[in-house]
Amino acid sequence: MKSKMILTLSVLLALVALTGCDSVFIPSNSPITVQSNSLYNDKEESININSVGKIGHGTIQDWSADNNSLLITSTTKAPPLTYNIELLNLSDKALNSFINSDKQQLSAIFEEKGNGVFYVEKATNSDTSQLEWTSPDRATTKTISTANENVQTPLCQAGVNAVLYTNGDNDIIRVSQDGSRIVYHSANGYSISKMTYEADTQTLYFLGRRDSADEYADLYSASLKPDGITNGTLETQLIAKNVVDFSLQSDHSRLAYIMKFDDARKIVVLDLTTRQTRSLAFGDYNALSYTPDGSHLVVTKITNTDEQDFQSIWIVNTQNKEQTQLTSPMIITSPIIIPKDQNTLFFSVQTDDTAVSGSRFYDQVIYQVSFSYNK
Amino acid sequence: MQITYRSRIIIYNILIFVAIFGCILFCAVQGTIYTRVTQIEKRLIQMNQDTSLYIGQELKSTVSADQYKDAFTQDASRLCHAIATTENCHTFLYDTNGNLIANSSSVDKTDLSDEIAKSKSEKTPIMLYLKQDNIHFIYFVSTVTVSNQQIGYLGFKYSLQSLDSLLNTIVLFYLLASALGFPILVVATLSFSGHFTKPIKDLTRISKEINKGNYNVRIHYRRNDEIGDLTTVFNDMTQNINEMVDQLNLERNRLANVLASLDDGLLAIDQKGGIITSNSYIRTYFNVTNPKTIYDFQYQSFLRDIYDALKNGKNHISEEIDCNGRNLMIIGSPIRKEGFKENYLIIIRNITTSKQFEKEQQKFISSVSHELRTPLTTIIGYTDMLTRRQVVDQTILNKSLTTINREGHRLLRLVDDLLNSSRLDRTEFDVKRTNLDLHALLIEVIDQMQIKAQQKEIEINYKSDETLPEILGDYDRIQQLFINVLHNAIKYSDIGDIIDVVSTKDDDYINVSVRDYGVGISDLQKDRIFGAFYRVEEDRARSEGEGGAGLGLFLVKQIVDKHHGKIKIESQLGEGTNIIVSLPFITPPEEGEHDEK
Repeated sequence: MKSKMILTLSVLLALVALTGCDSVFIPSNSPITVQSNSLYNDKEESININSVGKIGHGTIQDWSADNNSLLITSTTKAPPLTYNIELLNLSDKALNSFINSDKQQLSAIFEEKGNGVFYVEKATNSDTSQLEWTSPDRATTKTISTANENVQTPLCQAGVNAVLYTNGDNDIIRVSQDGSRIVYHSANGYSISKMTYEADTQTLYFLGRRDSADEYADLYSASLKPDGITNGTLETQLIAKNVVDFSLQSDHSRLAYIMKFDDARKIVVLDLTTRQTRSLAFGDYNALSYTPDGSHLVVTKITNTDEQDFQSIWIVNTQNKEQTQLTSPMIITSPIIIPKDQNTLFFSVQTDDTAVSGSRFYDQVIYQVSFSYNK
Repeated sequence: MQITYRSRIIIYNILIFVAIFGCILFCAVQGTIYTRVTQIEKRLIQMNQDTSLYIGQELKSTVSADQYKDAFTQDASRLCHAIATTENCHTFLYDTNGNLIANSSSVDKTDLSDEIAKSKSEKTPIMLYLKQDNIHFIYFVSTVTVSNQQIGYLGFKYSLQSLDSLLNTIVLFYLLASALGFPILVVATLSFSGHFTKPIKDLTRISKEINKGNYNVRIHYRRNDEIGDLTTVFNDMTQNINEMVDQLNLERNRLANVLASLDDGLLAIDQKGGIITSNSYIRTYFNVTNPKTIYDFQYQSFLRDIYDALKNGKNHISEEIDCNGRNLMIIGSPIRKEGFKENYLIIIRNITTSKQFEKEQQKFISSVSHELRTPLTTIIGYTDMLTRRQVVDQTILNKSLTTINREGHRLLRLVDDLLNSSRLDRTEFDVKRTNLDLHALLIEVIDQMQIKAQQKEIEINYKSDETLPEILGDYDRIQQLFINVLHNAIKYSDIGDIIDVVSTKDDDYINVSVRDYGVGISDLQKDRIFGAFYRVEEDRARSEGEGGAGLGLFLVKQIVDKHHGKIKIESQLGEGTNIIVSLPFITPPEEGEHDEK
């Protein structure tokens, strides 16, 4: 017994002494076959990337209701510096200048029926921003916001000829191109980072922070019907806390959002009818959008924790939760646009063109990725 | 070298400590390596996927599908740089033949042709874990496929320097913890080993005390654990031993008392001649104190002879010897019991008295025979004469008849004495006690004895306290008692003497003194005069016509004893004898007690 114990101890000590910091369980200097590779995993649904194209330059802001044009903001590469809003024709990839200004356009969206463009513009030497509207033929441009108002981004379509925005007092204002406006006060003065308006039920979904220093915003809903407003103050309902992004399904039946979960994040789908939630996926997700048919979610995932701007685009099946990577990690600078009735993504990517231009220069390249489902 | 129990505990504890720390270090290092490499493997797989997509994006956006290979080769340097920048990892690109076409570092020239060949043959990524310049690296090789078209190979060199630093830190802190923990371990082990060995030391100390014969010691350990159970059992065992020793001592004392109370000497001897036990009669008989062996009886060779005979197989030996003026009966027998060694027992019985008694009895029989023969001879002689000679002379006839009658009475008296003696000797015989007035009884006895006294012109003076209390006794026996005493007094008085009878009372007894002034008796005779069949020489000289059988005073003693009384004799030769009989009187009830009744 004693000798066995001493022998065991000796073997253990010898093992520790001999191995040192070398691995015992992983063979050294010997090729190891890697068995797990998600690229080759069998899935119920495979997604093929049919084409990838760089169709232009600029930052995508919106797409037209007829699916023919992308609304793009850009700046000139050479002095004099001007800020432009352009329309990229998706059929012939022709780029049509819409606005050229020395003022910077912070955000722009099409009017719902294509009757002009709303955009937030800020003069270089000014502290405030204004909401402008320009007609499709560029013949008419009107300042929609009031003179002392500091318009905040983002903008949100709010029915025909109308748009929603927030000002410096964190009020939510609904304005029409004809200048009519309704001001909604939020009781808690939320600092809003994203809004989506659902016209049928006149419901506004938004991400708001009570304190602008909060790391995460909370997801709220508010009815813009007259009975949802008391003395001009919106009655908001908290949907989820610590939310990064959200997307409303096109049929308005579900709401998907990314929320903080412990040290990571997860995608949750809320059924707006039953109010039941379902966790869809866990990971370092950053943004999401429903595909037009609502069967998938296109999400961005932070793939490099050291360089957080790098995001890859994935597509997630909302039913079987399968995920497929569509792009490599890139610095995505725009929302991901998915036109109706198309399996195509449009997004802007910041590229480093230093090597090309010879001087330090970052370009915004518009990517078009077409894919197809093979079930 | 003998290592103490406590030292062994300390050594084992240190060995266990070293082994456990070794195991912890081993598991910590190996677990960290395994976990980290597994994480890096997943990371490399993701990097491979990202990179493949990136290359696909770049190629698809610039060239047609049939130009992918060429475009990949031509644009390899840019792609490699972009991938290395994006993934922050040393990147290699190879064409489909495994030729290196781009390397993000000009320094590393590692040949991965074997891994590329393996990846090609197995169609899976290959990983290589190795150490270069004291830094661990993982090389990862995989095919680059765009739209199901293999266009080349991709390789990553992933540095594990951070892992090595982490392991070095772990080992450093382990050594630091060992250096700090070892002295603490030694101190703690010394402390708790002392704590654990204390009960054992107590057990040893108490065991030594018990070994010395002190069974009253106990171990005090209050915890209810294994040691507590041991000490409880030990204390119970000690208590049981103590009780057994007490019991043995009690039995030994009892046996010693039994042996001491024996009227016989006793020797128990073992096979080697050692004395197992003996009693005090051994010293009395042989003047040997505390004999250790049979050979201590230097002058009693007969004991050694008996011992030798028993040892040689004799079962029973008895013989009579004379020793130091005593008649001793020596009885030897073996003590045999199955399962035990054979021992021997020698009993030494003093039969001097019984021998003397036998002699007295022989004398008595001779005397009784003679006494019975004398009157019978006289009676037979006179009856023969009267029968043969036809005596007609009235004088002779009367004398003959008187003689026959006297001798017949003598015979009757002799037989009565023998009968009484026999009766009183029986244990079941009891006296018939009644309240009697001793004073009246004495007057009656003296009256009866006056005739006999007057024959020798002896005057009996009686003096008594008339307020003597009553005694509880058998009237006839008490009367016989004093008749026998007075008879003796008369018999041993000379003609014309006086006899004083005085009765007095003390606290418990009525003392009756019968004092004669006759020949008296010697001190030797005083000790034997109350024995049966004992007759002094003077009695034999005076026995003609009225001599006794030596039973008179024997009967007196018997009657006194039956009445719980005492008898004392005071006598000197030539000055007479005073016999004092003390009989307990009935204590009258107290007045109060009487009234209460």
